[in-house]
Amino acid sequence: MAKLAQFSIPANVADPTSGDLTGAWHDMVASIVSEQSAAFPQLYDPTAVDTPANAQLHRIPWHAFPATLNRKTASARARAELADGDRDNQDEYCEWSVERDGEDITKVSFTTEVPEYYSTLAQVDPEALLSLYHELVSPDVLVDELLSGGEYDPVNAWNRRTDGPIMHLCQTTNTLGAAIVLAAQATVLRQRDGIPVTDQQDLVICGGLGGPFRNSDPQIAAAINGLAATGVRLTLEDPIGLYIDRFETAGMRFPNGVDPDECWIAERGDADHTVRARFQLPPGKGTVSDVTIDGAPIRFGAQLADRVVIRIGARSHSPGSLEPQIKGCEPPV
Amino acid sequence: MEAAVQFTCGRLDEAKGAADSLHRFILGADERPVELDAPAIAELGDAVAQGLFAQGVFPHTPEELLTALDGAAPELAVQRTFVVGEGTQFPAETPGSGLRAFLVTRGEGPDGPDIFVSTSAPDAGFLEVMAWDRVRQGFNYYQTRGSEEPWVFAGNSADALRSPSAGVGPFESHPSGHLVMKELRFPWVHWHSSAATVRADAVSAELVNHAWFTARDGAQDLEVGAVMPAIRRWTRARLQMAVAADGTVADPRQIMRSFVTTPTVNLISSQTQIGPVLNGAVETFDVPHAFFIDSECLHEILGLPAPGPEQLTLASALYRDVLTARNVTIRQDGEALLAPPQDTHFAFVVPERAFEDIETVRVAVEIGLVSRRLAACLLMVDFSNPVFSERRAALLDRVPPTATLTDGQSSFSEDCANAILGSEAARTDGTPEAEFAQLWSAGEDWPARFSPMLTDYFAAIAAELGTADGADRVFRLAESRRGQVRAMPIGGETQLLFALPEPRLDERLRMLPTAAVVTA
Repeated sequence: MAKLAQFSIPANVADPTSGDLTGAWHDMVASIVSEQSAAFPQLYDPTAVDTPANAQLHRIPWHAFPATLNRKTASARARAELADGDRDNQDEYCEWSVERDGEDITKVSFTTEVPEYYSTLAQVDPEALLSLYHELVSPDVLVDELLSGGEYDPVNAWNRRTDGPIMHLCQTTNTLGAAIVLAAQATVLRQRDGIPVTDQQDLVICGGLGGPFRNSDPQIAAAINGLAATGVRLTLEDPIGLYIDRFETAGMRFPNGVDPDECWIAERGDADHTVRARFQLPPGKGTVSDVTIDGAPIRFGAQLADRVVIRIGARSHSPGSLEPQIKGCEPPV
Repeated sequence: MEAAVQFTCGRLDEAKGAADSLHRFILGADERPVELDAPAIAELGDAVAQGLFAQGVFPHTPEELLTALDGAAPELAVQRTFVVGEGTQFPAETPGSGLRAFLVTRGEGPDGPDIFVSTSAPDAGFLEVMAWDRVRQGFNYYQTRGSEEPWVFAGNSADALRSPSAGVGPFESHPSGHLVMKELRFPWVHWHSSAATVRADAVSAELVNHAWFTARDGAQDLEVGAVMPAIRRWTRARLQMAVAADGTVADPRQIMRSFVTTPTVNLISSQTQIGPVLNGAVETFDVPHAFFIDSECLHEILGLPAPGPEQLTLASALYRDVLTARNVTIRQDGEALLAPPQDTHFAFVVPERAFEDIETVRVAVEIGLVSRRLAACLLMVDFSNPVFSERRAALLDRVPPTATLTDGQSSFSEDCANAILGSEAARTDGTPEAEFAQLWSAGEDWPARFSPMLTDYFAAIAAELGTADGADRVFRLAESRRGQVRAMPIGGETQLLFALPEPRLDERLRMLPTAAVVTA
């Protein structure tokens, strides 16, 4: 595998613009990656350096339900209410919204699409942005509602909803930039008082690598850090992005002979990269609330989020070829 | 003092014969191993027996088994691999460090995998297999010990529930015939998971590049995708089998055992790793709710409100002081493996109610055998001791030996309550029966009456956790319960499940609803 010609659009979704979204996207990602590669050489820029064909692919998985909520309350119901009720609580690089008909859930939409894609899209072709909102969120969206001070507003009222179709990630730390920076910084081996810090939570705390009690940040940090320790050269899998890896149906019971595969519908992305999916029963076959998990009917989208697996991919090669950076702990923020 | 653990599984070694043979040896029921002929093998309804043994195929390593299944059971092609080891987070040179076992699953779907293979390595000679019997239901338990040894069929899940095989052989550590994943829930201490990566230096050079390790799955997937569905599968099956066509329930005490006794446990821990607790990177850490109460049954199944929005927490400094004062660390054969003070990788590992018993409670309520009121009143007896409650266990003797269930209707709950209320003990202050009677008197207003009891209890716990003496008492209570786990078959497999103080604390304690810790 030679140098990557350019960074691909997440999930290889088709360019809907009349302009050069592909080029603009590459420029945006390249600016982050090149800066991080300069500071953390073990994570190289694949558009600047060859990636050999035998580079090993590592897909790092975690679950979408926000683990930090486990520490806030012991009540599963309270956790689910907190998770469904505020997108700021959905901090595992996956967010969702829940549509209801009365008490019954009719659809739960999940997204891992990064806000940077939509900001770039807005710069290249605002009309294409609006068309996507019309297609996936609501035909009632106005372009002015998506902009703030002439710039795209990722936390616009349509996208921030918890009870209607949403467009992309909007929680503050759920960005592609944050994921790339995390991966880059995680290549640094950490020591405290001369002792290596490798425990996931401690590594995140010591390295200032995000939320120590999340599913995502410690998992990404530990996986990258463990690889870096072997002296490999690392890069993120192209197209760089956060992806919905799979949906776990074990233990779920579906009404009216419904096949679970009919209910989990990938909406955006190619065969190997999903960035948007919905859980919905086929017409006339009941509602989401007719499905049971663990013997109980689905009352919250969070019950499904617990079964959504998210991933980021990395490639490594040439173990022992680089001396990892070793640093002490960052000062507490 | 802890009772000596006596294992009987070793007797399976008595099966001798050709490597291409299968012997039945259901300990307790069979006096000696019996080689199974073709018709007997044909009665075993799982994919391993039907697809391999019945065809004369007797693989003798896990990899041979899985390869053979590729052709014999293509519907079970989905394979996942999980790794566990109490020493996987130790520094590499530490005695006891490294991986203990792989668990490989085959199949997927609403009921989870059909096949579970437990072994130490892909080419190991010793492997244990649990395979779902599609005809008789339940898991069939198999074992083989090497290429020169025969396979042994050690029983079906149903054998765990009937005399004389109950509690013997594999059913020592699988007392209700279920799959065992001790550390079932987040953060799955001891397992590779999204909460704690098992790094490459925890495995041998031969295994580090093997697909079982490089493509290992996280325990979060094992919990949701395999173990919980498997436990539900057998729970539903066993309760369906327990109710005859005329509505007669076979041995209702067998079911009620899950309400009032502790046949087995799961292990739960803080969600915080011990490192940040010891080095002060976190000022407080969460203490598992399920240590203090049967939270899943009372809150999630019966709907009693969880007291307060916040998780119970303990100051890191207080806990550090307790670990230091009690000289706590991971020990093996009395030797400290890590310099004290230390604890397990995730702090404060303690036993909690086993999911298999919780699931039995759930299903017994769902099918109408047990009313929510009876379930609540039984579980609220000595509620401050969710596991190992001798007071609650004493009520098992009051459970009527017979019951009927017809169209979701049963008089069993009233009969059971009346049996307790009618006992002489119910009129004696301080007995479990009298406590039950007091709870039962709440009538259908029980949720409103019980909720303040829990609220007061949790306020008392929070106060207890806020003092140095209180933290020490809670530690001693935890150590008391850990000691009881060590005496159970699932606790005897390794000494590394828990940290240990030195000198040991051989005391049996219980908690009162006032959060006071007293001698049991």
